[in-house]
Amino acid sequence: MKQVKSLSVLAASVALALAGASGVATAAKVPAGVQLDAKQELIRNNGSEVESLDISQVESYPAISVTSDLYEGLTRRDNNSKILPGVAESWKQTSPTTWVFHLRKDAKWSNGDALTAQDFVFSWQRTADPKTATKYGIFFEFLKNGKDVLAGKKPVSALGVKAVDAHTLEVTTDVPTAFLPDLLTNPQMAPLHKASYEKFGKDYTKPGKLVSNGAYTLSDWVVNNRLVLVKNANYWDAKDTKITKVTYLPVEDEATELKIYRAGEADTIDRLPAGTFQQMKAQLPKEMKPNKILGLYYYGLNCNDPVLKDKRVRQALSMVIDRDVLVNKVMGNGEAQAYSLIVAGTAGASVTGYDWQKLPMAKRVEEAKKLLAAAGYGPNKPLHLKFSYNTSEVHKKVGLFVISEWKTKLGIVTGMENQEFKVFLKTRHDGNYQVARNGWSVDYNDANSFLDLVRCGSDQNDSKYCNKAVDAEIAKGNLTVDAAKRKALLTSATKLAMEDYPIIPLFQYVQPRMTKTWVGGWTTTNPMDIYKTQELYIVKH
Amino acid sequence: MLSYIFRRLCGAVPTILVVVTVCFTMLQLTPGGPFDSERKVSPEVLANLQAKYHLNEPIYKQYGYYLNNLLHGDLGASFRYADWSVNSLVGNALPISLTIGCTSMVLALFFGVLLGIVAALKQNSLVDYFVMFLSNFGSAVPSFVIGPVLVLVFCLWTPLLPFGEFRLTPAYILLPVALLTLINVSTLGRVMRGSLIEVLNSNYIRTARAKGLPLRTIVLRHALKPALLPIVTLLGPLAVATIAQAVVTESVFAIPGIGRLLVNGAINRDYTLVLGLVLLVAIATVLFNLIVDVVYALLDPRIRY
Repeated sequence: MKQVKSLSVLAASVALALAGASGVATAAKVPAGVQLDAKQELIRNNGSEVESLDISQVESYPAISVTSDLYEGLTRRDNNSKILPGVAESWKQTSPTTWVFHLRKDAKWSNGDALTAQDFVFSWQRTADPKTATKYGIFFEFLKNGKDVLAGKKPVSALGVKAVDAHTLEVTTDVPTAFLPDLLTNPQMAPLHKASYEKFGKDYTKPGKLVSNGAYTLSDWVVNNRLVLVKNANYWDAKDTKITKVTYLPVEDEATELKIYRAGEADTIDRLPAGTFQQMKAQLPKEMKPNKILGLYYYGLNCNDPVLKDKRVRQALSMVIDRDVLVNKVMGNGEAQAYSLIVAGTAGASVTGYDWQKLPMAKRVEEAKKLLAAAGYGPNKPLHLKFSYNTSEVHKKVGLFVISEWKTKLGIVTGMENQEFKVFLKTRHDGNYQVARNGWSVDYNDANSFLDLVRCGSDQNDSKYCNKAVDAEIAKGNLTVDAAKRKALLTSATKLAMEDYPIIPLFQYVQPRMTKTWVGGWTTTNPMDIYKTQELYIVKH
Repeated sequence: MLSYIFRRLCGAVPTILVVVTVCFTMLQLTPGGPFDSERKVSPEVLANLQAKYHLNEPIYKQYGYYLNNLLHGDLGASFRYADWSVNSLVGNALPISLTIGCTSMVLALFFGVLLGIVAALKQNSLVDYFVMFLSNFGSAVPSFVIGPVLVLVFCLWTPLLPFGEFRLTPAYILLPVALLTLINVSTLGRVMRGSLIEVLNSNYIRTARAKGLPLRTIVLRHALKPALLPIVTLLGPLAVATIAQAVVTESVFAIPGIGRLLVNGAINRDYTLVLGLVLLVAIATVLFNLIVDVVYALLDPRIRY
């Protein structure tokens, strides 16, 4: 905190960032010559029922998708993950920790009420209030006093958000938060219509009661059946919003989901049953829309385990896995090989690598054997490990490949243990494992989100890894205002951590999506993977 | 009879209480909680969540709160679906599951008994072999295989029926009802056939034949009632099994019924939702058994309560 204050004093000498362009129309851009269908209606399968439409309670991908259509924050992401003005038409970083947002005058709620800066203050204070019990406190932890407010140690009024006037909002953060505009795109940071919330309480999210400020408003909601949104005529960019009605289906079963899609009852699906990607690609190549996301599939190595606390063992395990075979033969959905904690496309740090990753496999195996021998393992004393994963065909397939690599190349005997998902999560969070399946997708596009996996004592650090030098580098980076210097520091922290091998990165996730050919505006270059309906349109078919 | 029903209903209360208590305890003992996710929540956030749902209090207190709410007809707030109470979730899903379940039970009863009678009367004929094949097929091939095949044939290859955004209309419930009916017919038909053959071989039927009564009268007036007794016995467990089958059929046909709620409730550790649904199944089981016992008395003059 002291460092933060001293930096604030330096604010005057800091080059202030200015972003955002006034009144940018951001909705569907229909290329010239494309004829639109008379019926602009879309059906999206959402993968599961949303846990809530209350922005203080949403946490899952399906709920974030729907609330991103219903609500708009100060900023928003387009379907290429580019940050654009949202309710705020411009913003200015007036000091390393202070940001001023200028709200557009034509922003309205779906019932026609004017949207003001106070609506943001009300929303954020309500979500950060311990009584609201949000699961997604992480965004608020960056705001000034956020952690203390969430913990009930300070009143909600102490939160770093202030309405300067009806159309000016001042946001203060605890540390310089370069990615604040990215963070504010999330629906959890959207405003809330105070009057309807106070009138209906918990029921404010029901059809007929929900007042939203995004491109859509809620029309119908039947749990486990459908969620229907219709165009919000009061949205500031309604004229450029083409889709007039979007229906979200909550079908969980991937095989059923694919049948619904093929029966023409859904226009987009976000997943495919394991092992069907290549078959679908051969049958319907134009409908395949795989999207590489900011997510890493990796194996966590328990650094407190008597065997795995030896770095040489951890390194040997990582070296011999042939990622090329893994992504091309075992997975085959277009995943990218991974050797770093950071995946391609992440802001705030570069993808790191290992010196050995370009060596021929035979050489890597030779080196790995030497490391194991130095750690006391070899043909006379083979290493025994246990690999834990949650029950899933994909995890089993990857697990079988990896343990066969260890067995055939290093003679390691690995037992596989599958557990029900929640049991597995507890096992992993409690550190009761040796090697465990793990995966991470970022909440905001910044290296910090990935670095949470290796920071000492971080809630997300299931490897129980701790290197004070890495933490110091991360802290230093996060207090650095200069973007290039910050990036160098966070990259250095990543490199430092990865040289300790707390995790085995395997591949960068791909969302194997399918969309009908008549759905326009769909991209495959959207690392945050949230697709706003307002940017889509239906081509005449 | 009325006093018997009253006594049985009174006796059901402790049974249901035991079921709720055992389920409550088992849920508490199951590793992993409602707030465990890939992204571990911070201790402060977890404390807020636990306080909101009283999970920070001793188990006996949580149990007390639950029973108190239950006595007031409140099944509590869902842990997973924050905007809904368990009452409204169950209230929305139950009519759908009931419609599909009851329709299929009635159809299965009709066709099961009919096919069983035909097979018993035409024993070892082609008709009998067909009925037995159908019975064995329905019992041997699991619903998660038949269901997707039905969808493939009737919704994809020959798009005769809609599939996707579910509506409670005949077109949408046709396939799930057909699947559940097939499964239940296979059991009922086999039992009816065996039961009728046994009754037809009994002494009093031989007497009836000897008296020269026509087959129609022998079957309808003398053999059917006693032959139906095993069917009635089966109906209770079969009705409960139909609820269990809903777990598969509702997933395959994307139906928003209680089967899907139960699966999601268990996966998400949605304690209140699972308890509410277990309570519902327990009450249904008790009621089905009571109805079966009452029907016994109507069918068998030797049974008196």
